[in-house]
Amino acid sequence: MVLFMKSSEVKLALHLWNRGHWMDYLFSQGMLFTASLLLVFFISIGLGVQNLLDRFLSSDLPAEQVRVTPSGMQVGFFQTETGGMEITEEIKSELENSPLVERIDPQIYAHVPALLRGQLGGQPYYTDITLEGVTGEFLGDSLLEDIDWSYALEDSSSRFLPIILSENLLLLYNAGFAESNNLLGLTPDGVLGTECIVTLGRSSIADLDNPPVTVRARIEATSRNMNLFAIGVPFEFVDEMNSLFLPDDTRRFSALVITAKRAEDVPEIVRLVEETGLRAETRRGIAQKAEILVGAVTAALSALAAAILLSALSSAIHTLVADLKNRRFALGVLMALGTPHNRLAMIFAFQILFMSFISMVLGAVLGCLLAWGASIALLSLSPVLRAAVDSLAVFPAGWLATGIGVMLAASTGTAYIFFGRILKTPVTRLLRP
Amino acid sequence: MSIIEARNIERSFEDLTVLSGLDLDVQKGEFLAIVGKSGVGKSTLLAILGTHDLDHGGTLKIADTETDGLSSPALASLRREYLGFVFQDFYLLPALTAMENVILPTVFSGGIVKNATAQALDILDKLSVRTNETPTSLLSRGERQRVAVARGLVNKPSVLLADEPSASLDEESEKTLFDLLDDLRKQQNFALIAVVHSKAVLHRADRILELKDGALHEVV
Repeated sequence: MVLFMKSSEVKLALHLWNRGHWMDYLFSQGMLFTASLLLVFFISIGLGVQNLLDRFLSSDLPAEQVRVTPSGMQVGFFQTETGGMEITEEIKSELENSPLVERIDPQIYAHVPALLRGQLGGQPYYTDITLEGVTGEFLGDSLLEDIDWSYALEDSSSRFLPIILSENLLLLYNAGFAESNNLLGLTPDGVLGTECIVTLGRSSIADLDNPPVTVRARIEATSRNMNLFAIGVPFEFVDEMNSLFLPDDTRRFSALVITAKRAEDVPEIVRLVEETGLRAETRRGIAQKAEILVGAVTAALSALAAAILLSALSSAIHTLVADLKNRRFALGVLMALGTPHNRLAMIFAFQILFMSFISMVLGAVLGCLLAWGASIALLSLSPVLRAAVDSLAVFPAGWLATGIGVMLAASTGTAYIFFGRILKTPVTRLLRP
Repeated sequence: MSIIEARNIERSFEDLTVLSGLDLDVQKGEFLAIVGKSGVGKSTLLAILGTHDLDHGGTLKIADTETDGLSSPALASLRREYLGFVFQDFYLLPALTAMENVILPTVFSGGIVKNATAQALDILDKLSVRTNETPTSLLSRGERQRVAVARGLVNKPSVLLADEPSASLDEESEKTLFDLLDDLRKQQNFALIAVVHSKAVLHRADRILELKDGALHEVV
C-alpha cells in the first residue's frame, strides 16, 4: 500500500471529508486564526508599551552615583515649595570630605529670569526659560571630546553658549506647547545644532534692575537625566550670572551628583546625605520606582493577553474537538471499510496540523500588521509618543514563534489525542448512533 | 479452500451469551443465507466475520489469515482486500452523493480512483441509482440501500457480508439487486454471506443457515 498520498488524492479526500462540515471546519480554523492574531497583537503592543514606559522612566544615572537634591522645591527663578533643606557650600564640602566620595559634580539654577528666542519650523519662537548650570558630567566623556563645556560671559562675542537640553523638557514641549499650537513635535536628534538667543535678567513676567545679558546659544546635546528639568548650560556661566544679578545671594546648589569610589559604598553615602536632611536618589531607587509602574502595566497587559489567549485557545480546542466528535461516525465508516489508520492520520495531520499552522501563521502576520498599524496611528496622534519611541509595536521573533508554537501544540495536540482515542475505539462503537 | 473459517466462536454481552461454539466454513463463490429470529445475533456474527467486533472467543481465519492478534493496519488491509460490507443501517455519509459514497473507501485507501469510479458507475447504473449531485440524505431508503450495496462491491471483494441488503426494497428492486449479485458473483467468484428473510432470495442461496442458540444450523 502506498503510504503517502498524491496532492490530488489529498485534495479529493479533503473535499469528500469536509462536505457538509466546511462551516465547522472554517470556524475552528477561524478561532485559531483569531487566537494567533490576538496573541501577536497583544505581545507586540504590550512590549511596545513596556518599552515606552521604560523610556519615560529610565535614567542615565550610573550605579556608583548618588543624586542629592534639596528637600524643598525650587526651580530657578520659581520657588514652589519653601522651608526645605537647601544644598549649601558647607554641606557640599562636608560630603566631599567623606573618604567614600570620589567626586562631586554640582548643579545650580540661574536665579534670574531668562528668555529664549529662536526659530522653530521657520516660525519665530520665544519662551521664558530656567537655566541650570551643570558640569561636563551630564555630557559624558564621549561628548566632552567634541563640546567645549567651559563658558564665561566674555566668550559670548566669539562662541555660542553650549546648551544641553533635557529630553524631559522636550517631552513637555511636545505634549503641551506643540500639541496645543499645532506645531511639529521635536525629537532629540532633531533639535541638535539649533541656534537661539538667550537673554538673562528679563522674561515675559519679570524684569530685574540690572541691564539684561544676551548671548547666542546652540543646543549641543540632549540628556535623559531625570534631574535636569531645565536647560543645562555650563556651571561657571550660571554661577557668574547669579553673582552678576544677585551679588548678595548665597550660593545654593540645585543638585549634587556624587560619584562614589565604589558602587557598594552608595548605600552608606545615601545614609550620610539623608542625615543632612537632603534627598538622595540612586539608580536602584529610580529603577525600583519605574519597575513598580512598568511591572503593574506589564502584569495588566499580560493578564489581558493571557485571558484572551486562554479563551481563544479553549474555543479553538473546543471547536476542533467538537468537529472531531461530529466525525466519529464518518471515521467509523472509513475504518469499517478498511481505511488504514495511517491514512486517516495523514488526512488529520493535513487537515488539522498543517491547516492550523497556516491559520496561525496568517493570524500572526495579520496581528503584526495590526500592531504595526496601531502603532503608526497612535504615534501620529501624539508627538510625545513619537518623540519617545520609533514604534509602539515590538516584534520579538523568538517570543512570537514560541507563543504560536505553544498554541499550535496545545490545540492540535489536544485534538490529536482525541483523534487517537477515536482510532482506538472499536468500530462497532463508532458506528453506534 | 475456505475463504472464511470460523471455529468455536463465542460472544457475550455481559451476562447474555449470543454466540456459543459457532463454527462456519465459507467457500469462494457460494451464497450463504443466514436466517434467525430478531435479536438472535445475526448482525453480531457479521460484525465478527467482518473483523469489526474483535471481542470474541474462538478463531477466525479469512483467506487463510488468522485474525486474532492482528494489528490495526493488518486488519484494515484484510478488510480492504477481501471483504465488502452492506450494513443494515447502510452507514452512508449523508452529505456525499451516491458516487462519492461508493468511491470513498478507495479514495481514502489509496486505491485507483479512476477504476473505482468506473466500477461504481457501472454498478450504480445497473442498480438504477441516481448518480447526479443529490446527497444521499435526500435519496429514498431503497436507493440508499442500493448505494450501500454498490459500495460493498466496488473493491471487488472475496466475501460480501450483507446484513438484510434488500430489507428496504420492493420485490422488483430486490430481484434486480440479487440478479446483479448473482451475475457479479459468477464473474468475480466472491462469496456472499447475507442475512435475509425474503423467501425469494432464500431460493437463490447455496446454503441456508439458521442462527439459533448461539450456533448455526443448516436448513434443509
